[in-house]
Amino acid sequence: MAQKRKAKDAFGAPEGVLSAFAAARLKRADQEAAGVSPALAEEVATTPYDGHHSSPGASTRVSRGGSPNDAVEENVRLPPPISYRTNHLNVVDDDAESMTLLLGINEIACIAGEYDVTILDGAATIYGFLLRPESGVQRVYAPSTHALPVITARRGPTKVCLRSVKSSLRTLERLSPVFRNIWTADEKERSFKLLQTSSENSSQRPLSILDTDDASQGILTQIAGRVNERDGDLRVITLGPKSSGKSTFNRQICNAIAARTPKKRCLYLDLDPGQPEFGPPGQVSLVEVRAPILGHAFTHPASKKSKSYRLLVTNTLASTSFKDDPEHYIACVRDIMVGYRARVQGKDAQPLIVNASGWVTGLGATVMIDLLDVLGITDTVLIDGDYPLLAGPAREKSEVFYKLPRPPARPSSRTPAELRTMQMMSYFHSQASSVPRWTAKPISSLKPWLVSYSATNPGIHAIVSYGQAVPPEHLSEILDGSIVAIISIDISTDTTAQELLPMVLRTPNGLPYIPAPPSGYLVPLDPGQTTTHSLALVRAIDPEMQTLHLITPLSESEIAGLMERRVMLVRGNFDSPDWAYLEDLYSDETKDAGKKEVAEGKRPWVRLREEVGVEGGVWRVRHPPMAGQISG
Amino acid sequence: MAKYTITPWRHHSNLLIVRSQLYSPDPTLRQAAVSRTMAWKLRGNLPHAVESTALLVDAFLHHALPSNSPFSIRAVYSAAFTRFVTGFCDIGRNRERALEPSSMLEIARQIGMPAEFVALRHEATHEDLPSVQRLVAACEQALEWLWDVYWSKIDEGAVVMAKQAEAEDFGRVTVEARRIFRDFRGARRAALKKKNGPQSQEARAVVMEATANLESLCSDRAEATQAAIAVLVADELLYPSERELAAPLGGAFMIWDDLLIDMTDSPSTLRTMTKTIFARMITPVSAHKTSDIGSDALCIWLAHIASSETWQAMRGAVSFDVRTDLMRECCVQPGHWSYLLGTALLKSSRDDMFIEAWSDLLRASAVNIDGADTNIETDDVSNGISSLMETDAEAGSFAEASDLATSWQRALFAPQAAIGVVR
Repeated sequence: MAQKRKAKDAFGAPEGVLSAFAAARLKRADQEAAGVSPALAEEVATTPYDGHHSSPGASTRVSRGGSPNDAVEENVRLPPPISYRTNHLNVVDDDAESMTLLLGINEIACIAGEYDVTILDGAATIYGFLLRPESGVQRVYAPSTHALPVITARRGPTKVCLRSVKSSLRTLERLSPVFRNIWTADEKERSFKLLQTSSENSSQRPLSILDTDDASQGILTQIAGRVNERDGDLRVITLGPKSSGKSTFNRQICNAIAARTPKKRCLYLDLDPGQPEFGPPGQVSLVEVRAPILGHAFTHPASKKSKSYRLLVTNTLASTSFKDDPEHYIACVRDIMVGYRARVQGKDAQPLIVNASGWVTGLGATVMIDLLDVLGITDTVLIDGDYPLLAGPAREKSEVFYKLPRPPARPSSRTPAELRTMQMMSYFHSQASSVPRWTAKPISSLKPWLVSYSATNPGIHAIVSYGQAVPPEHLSEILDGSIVAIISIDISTDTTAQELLPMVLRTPNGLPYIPAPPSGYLVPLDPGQTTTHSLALVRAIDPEMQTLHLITPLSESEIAGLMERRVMLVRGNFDSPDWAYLEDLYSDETKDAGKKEVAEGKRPWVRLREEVGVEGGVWRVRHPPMAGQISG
Repeated sequence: MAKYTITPWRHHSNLLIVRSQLYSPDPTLRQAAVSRTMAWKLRGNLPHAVESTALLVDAFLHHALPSNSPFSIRAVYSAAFTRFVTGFCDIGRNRERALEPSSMLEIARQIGMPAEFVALRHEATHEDLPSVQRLVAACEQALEWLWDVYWSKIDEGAVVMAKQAEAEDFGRVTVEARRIFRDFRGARRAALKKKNGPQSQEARAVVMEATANLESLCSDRAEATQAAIAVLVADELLYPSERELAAPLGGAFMIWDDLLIDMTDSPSTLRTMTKTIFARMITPVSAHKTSDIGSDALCIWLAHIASSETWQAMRGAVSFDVRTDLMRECCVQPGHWSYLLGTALLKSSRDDMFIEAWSDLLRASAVNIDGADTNIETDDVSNGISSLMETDAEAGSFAEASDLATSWQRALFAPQAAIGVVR
């Protein structure tokens, strides 16, 4: 019966009511139940059974086809408009580029889209951050994929200036349907739109409001107070089930620290490989946060060069979940904490904010309890939920704990897998610079690095497979077009590292790899001995020239730094980069050349999906019941 | 909007091969297919039917090994079978998206899966492991069921047959094209000998006839055109068989120019032609690579197509920059002949922007050419190409500087191929 209950939970949409459309479906299903459905059998047969897939191709869920079916579903999926009203706002200045509002105390403005905000007079909060005239210009990203942050005046009168921006992030919408229909523009073509009520949004997407309620506000004030009391020596973790608002609350903690402590900065430990805050999925990392976080994860990838969110250290799991190797996960975290302690030693402490995964039962809880000791948590925020196995020890192990009521479930227009795709795309399109910039070119037309793997002039030492062992004769087939992590062992200083290097063999077509022991799986390389540099997409393998074509967001100088080291590529269990194969097709939909190529079977791994009939439409699933129930 | 789906296999033909192997009587082939399917599983997006088939086949292979214990044999059959049934029912149930999900049995009924499958799954999970005999029978039945539901539907029989028919058709195209081209060459030569020049009525008529024949042969199919162009190159029709290295090709141009220009009515045909010629040029057939008559002639041909006045109108008419395209190929696929062609293109250019954009790249690309004989007498390459570029000193220093990083090099150009395709 356990299985049944689980499925029921998942099927019951957050609203908990049967929508008219679902009812229609049920009725239809009843009618059809009389007969066997061969088309259904065929569709089921072609679906992968791996917890990621709910329908053939995750992106189909959001692709806006011309079919009437899609339109219907789109409308039905909308939750009722949120009854959230503001008084008619006092707009004192309104031109082609900007808009200035005059807000009375506690008056609220909700803005969708992307904009720069400046306080000309007074004070206001957004996302837990206190905006004042001296806080300068702040960029806010409020796409419709998530709850929209509101600006609340804390003094009256407060003058708020919103400015339209020309963002490069938005250009990604050309490249994938997951980035489409999430931005907005008002009648003046400005990049933002002032909402009087949320139902006003022209694209009719489900929107909700992110407001800092009193309970959260109280905890944020206490935490900021404790940071000051303890001279920054505070380590805070927020625990709670999936989609219970952990990341949002962590952002608010960072923002509260940025606004209310003298140093205005903190360290952010990203422990959720499924939905990290600052980087691509699949790693754990430590980031120095020097600016408020006013957007969702895909709007602010961290990098070594970023001024606002500087990547200090990262260790790759090469997987979006730690379920297959919890020990390696803990080792990765332990290694980062060694670096953290060395960093804060003898200097003023910096508060540490820990972003935990939402896996709070079973193995997830066991691992997290172990980690609490590794991390030395002082303060724990427990979001309401049913996870006594973790909540009990967490309470005992920390000096102070706070209880936060679980915010109402918010409808999201993107599944976890789609959000990971967005983060991955944002990462691969970001360009190393001090301010965030993204390139709008399809990834297939970015210049790759040609990396030799020949025995005489090797650019990489070996290819390592984490997780299940790979038969050497199939390594090339698996590697081609997939995501790998670039890691290295320092060979210049540490001579013992030389001995650590395992034996390298070569596949029939010459790829160097580290063979798996007879146990069938390889123990991952010790994170203490290796450095994770970045992820890369294996764009192609050229057996003739013995080169791998790699695409990575690393800068030229960082690549030059790799030359002194023994470089390895780690292949693991990253999501299949379906998005990468399709970007150029989506970016140029007016021309049929790409589509024709696909139809003729000339595009590797890509096929045209036959237009599914009514039956296929009916059976298409919107919420993947399996996806990520086990992982973060 | 086109809707795409991603498969773990590169091309559909891979899946067809795996199917024939999975259902083959030869255990080596079946083993190979299982291993390959498991590799696809690691890529992601593997349909459950394919995975289930491989697991079931693997259970049979496991059974055939004499050293395995009775428990392990029953366990492997049970695991493969259970995962097969559970997966189908789970996916079906997810698809249903009802508040009260149907029972497994109900889902099985809807997708036409025998009820015994669900019963056996239940037994294997909650009761004693079923006996080997029953498991073998059930797994055999499961493989048959999978064949009906999935494997029998993937061939797109019509498509495959059409492709085969096409392949035969191309054989015919090759033969026909060869005849057309040879007839054309003879007739055109005869017409030109009458001294009325290439634009005489008779000479023109020969071209028109050949063009018409080719058009009806290829009838706008890219592959057919490609086959025809391949004949031109493979049969060495574009230059006299007896010729000196670097001898001018004026006569050949006079014979072929009009026909080639008429043939290349689209950018893609022009690109196919230059690409085919280029590919042959950089793979000399004679032992002395740098004195291959064919490569030499084709190099002159390409320079002629890319920069001569005869072809100017043609180049203007299509939206495809032959010269830049060839230049890029020269840099990306460096070699003796690429370098010669690149130099010729630079020399014949009156466009400063073009020269500025490409001369350094060409030189850099030539650094690693075997024997470093970039010191080639380009004088011979006709068309008034006089002297050679200043090479070795600078090229040498470039090589030294980049020595450290040669194992990681930034590609010179933005690729034009899709992900997974080298070029």
